[in-house]
Amino acid sequence: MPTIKLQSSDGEVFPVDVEIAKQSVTIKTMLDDLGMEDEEEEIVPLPNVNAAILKKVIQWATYHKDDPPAPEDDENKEKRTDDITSWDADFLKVDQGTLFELILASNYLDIKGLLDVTCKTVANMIKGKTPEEIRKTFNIKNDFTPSEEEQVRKENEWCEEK
Amino acid sequence: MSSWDGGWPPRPALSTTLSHEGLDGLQNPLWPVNGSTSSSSFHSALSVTSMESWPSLGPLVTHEGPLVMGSSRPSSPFCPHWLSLPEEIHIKVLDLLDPSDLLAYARTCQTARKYVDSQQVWKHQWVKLSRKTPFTFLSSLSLVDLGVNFKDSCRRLWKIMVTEGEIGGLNLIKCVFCKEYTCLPSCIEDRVAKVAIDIGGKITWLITPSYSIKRHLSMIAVPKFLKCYDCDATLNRSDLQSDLVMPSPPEYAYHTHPEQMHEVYCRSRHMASHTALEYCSQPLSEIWLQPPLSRPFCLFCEDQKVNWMICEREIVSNTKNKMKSVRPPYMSGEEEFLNYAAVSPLTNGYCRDTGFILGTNNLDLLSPLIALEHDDAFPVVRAFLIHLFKHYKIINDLQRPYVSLVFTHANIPHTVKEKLIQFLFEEMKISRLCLLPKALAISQLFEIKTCVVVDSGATSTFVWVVLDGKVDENRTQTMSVGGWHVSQCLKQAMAWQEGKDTSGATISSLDTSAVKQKCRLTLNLSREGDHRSGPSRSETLHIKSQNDAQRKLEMTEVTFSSELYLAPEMMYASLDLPSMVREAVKELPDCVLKDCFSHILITGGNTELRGFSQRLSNDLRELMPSHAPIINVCRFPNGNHSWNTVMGAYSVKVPPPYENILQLHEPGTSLWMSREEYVMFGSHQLAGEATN
Repeated sequence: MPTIKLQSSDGEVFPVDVEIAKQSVTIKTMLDDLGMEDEEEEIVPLPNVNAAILKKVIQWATYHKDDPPAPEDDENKEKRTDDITSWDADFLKVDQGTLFELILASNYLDIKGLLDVTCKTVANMIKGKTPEEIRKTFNIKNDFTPSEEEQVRKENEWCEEK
Repeated sequence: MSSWDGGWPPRPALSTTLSHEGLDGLQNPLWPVNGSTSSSSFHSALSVTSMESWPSLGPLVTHEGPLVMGSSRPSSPFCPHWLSLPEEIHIKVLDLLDPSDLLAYARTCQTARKYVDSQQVWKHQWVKLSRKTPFTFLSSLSLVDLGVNFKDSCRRLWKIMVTEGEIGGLNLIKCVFCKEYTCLPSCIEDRVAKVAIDIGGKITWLITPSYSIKRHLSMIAVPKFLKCYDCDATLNRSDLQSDLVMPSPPEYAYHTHPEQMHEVYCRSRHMASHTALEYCSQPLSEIWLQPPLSRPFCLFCEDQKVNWMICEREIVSNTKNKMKSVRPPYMSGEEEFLNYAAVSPLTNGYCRDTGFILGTNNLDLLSPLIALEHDDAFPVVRAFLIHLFKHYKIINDLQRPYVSLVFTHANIPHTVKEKLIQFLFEEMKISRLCLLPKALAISQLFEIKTCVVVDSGATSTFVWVVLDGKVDENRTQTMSVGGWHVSQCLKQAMAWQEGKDTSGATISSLDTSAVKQKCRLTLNLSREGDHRSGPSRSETLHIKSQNDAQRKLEMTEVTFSSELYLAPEMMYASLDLPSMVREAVKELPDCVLKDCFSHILITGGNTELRGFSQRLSNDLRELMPSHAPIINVCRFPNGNHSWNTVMGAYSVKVPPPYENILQLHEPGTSLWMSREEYVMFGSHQLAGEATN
C-alpha cells in the first residue's frame, strides 16, 4: 500500500497510507497536483499542524478510512448535533486547546468529517447554557459595559418564555 | 506544559508529570500505574514505524505530554482560545445552534455578539426555522434581494410559532378551501372570510366570520394598587382575598394546624396594620406583570372580578373608617401619590359615569378608543382586544389562513399602529390584517369613492375628505363632541327644572336610544319656542336613576319638553359641523368639490337624531350658497347607526397577496398584511407614514 510522509510543524515525520491521507482535501489536491508517479517517498510538510495534533488527526482518519465521502452541505437539510458516534465522542474527550487545534487542523487540512464532528462538539458545549455558563465554559471575559449588557439583553430576549 | 489541576478525569498524580524526558525508558517502574495504554503501543507511538500501530495509539500520550480528557475545562495558556479561532469556524458552529442558544451566546461578549449578529448566521436560522413551518414564504434568495433583516424575521416567526402568550400557542389550521396553510392567491380573492371590528367611544362593534354582529361597551377596568401612604407598601390582593374567604374561626380550628391558623390570622391583620391605605392608579406599562387580581378585566363580562373588587372596596373603606380617628390628614402631594395624571387622559364621560354609578374608586375605567391615540397606553388596548377576542371566542377563527381581521381606525399614531400590528400577529397570531380608515369603511358602505364623510359618534365627531378611495388626512377635522353631550345637556336641563327629583339620574341613563328617539334637531328654533308650552310636545320617559345612599338603580319617571330639542341644539352648536365641513373641503378644485358636495355621507350614532341630516343640509347651503344646489347630505338607506362603520369594514375587498411587496403604505389608504408578509418584512410598510 503506497504511503506518504507527513511532516508536522515541529519536524516529526509520520508515514501514512495515501488513501487515509487523502481524506484531507488539502493533501489530496497537493498529491494530485504533484502527480503520484515519483516513487521516492516525498515528505509533505504541514507547517500549521504540530505532531501531537497531527497524530490525533491521523488516528481519526485511520478509523474513518472506510467511511463514505461526507455529503455536501445542503442548506435545506438541518444539521443535528446529537449524532456524534460513540467512537468520535470518546476520541474528542480532550482538553479544549486540543479540540480547537483539531478544528484548526481539520479546517486547514480540509477534512470535512472531522471538522463537522469537532464543530458539533463545540456547539454542544454552548447548547442549553446561560450566557454566564457559556463564559465559564470557554473562559470568555465579559467585556460589555453595564448599559451595553442591558441593551444586548433586550435585543436578545425574545426566545425566553415570559 | 502547564500542570493540570487534576480535577477531571481523576488520574494518578504521575501522569500529570509525564514529560517527553520521563518516557525515555520503558523500564520506568511507574509507567504501568497509568494503566490505560499498553506498553507495546506506547513503544510504537514513540518510534513511529508502522501504519498499523496508529489506530491503537492511546490518546493519552503525546510528545508534549499527556492529553487531558474533558472538554469543559478552560484551555491552558499555550492553547488557542475559542475566540481566537477564525470567523468561518465560529459561523460553522453558530449554524449548528438554535436561536435560543445563539441569543444566549451573543450575550457573552462583544466578539460573540458581532459573530451572532451577522446576516449570514440569521439567514441560515431563517432557512432552518421557516422550513419547519407549513407556511409559504418567498425564497431566501429573493428575501436577500429584498434586503430583509433575517434576525428580525426569525424573531417574528419565533414569536408566532413558539412563544405562547395570553391566549396560548398558534393553532395550525389548513384552509378549508385550498387545503393549504398559506392560502393560494385565488383562494384569498374568492373566499376570504372576515372579522370586522370598530372601536367606538361608547360601543365597540364586532362582526364574526359567521356574520353575527356583537356589541360590547368600549371600556376596560384596571384595578388600582392598594398602597399605604405612610410606608409606601403595595398590598398584595391575593392576601386580601384570604381575608374574604377565611372560614369562621371554630370551624377553621377543627380542620387545620395551629400554625396555618396563625398565618391566616396574620394575613387578616395585614391590611389593618397599615394606617394610611389609599388606592392609586397603576402604571400602565406594567399592568401585565401584576398578579392576576390586579390585571385589567371587563366590567361587564367578568362578574366575579367585579364582585371581588366591590367587596375589597368595602373592606378597605371599613378599615379606613376605623383608622380615621388616629390618622393625621394627608399632606399635599396626594394627587401625585394617587397617580391620577397617568390615566385620567384615557377616560371619557362613559368611564367616569360608570365609575360613579358603581362607586368603584378602586378601579380605573379606561376607554380603549382614547388609548389607541396614546403610545404609552397600548396595554389598555391590548387588554380590551384580548377580552373581546376571548369573549366572542374568535381567536381560532382569526388564526385560520383565509380569515382577515379588518380593524377600523381614525387617528392612530404611527407608533401605536406598529404595536397593534405586532400584538395582533405575534400574540393573537392572526393570519391577515387590514387596518382600515373609518372614512373608507363608510365610503365602501355607500360605494362612493369621492365624498365627504361626517361621522358623529358618542364622544367625538370627524369630518373626512375621501378622494378617489383615499383619505386626505390633512383635511381631517375633528371635535370631541358627540351623542354623550346631548345626554349631558339633558341632564343639565333637568337640574335647572324646579320640582323634579332627578339628582339620581346619571348621564348614561339618559344616553339610551329610548331617550334619543324623542330628541330632535329642529330646523327653526324660534318656531319651536312658540310651541314650548303645548302639551303635545312633552314626553314622559322612564329612566334609571340612583339613590345615593344605596347606590341602587331604580326606574324613575321623567317628563321632558323643551329639553328634547334644546339639548341636541346645544350639542350641535358646540360642534359647529357646517364650519368643519367647509374647513375640510377648503381650496379643493371645483370638479372634485362637486363630487364631494354631492356625496356628504353621514354616519354614527349621534346622527341618528331626528332632523340631523336635514339640519346639516340646510346649514351647509346657508353657509356656502354658491354650492347650495349640489349639496346633498346622504343618510345610509337603512338608517344612520353606530354600526355602519363595522358594516362597511366587513364589506371591504381583500387585495391579492404579495402585490407591490416593497411599496410603502400610503397614508389614508387601507393597509393589508398577511402573516407571511409580517414574518418576512415586519411592519416595514409603515415606513411611508413615519416620514409623514
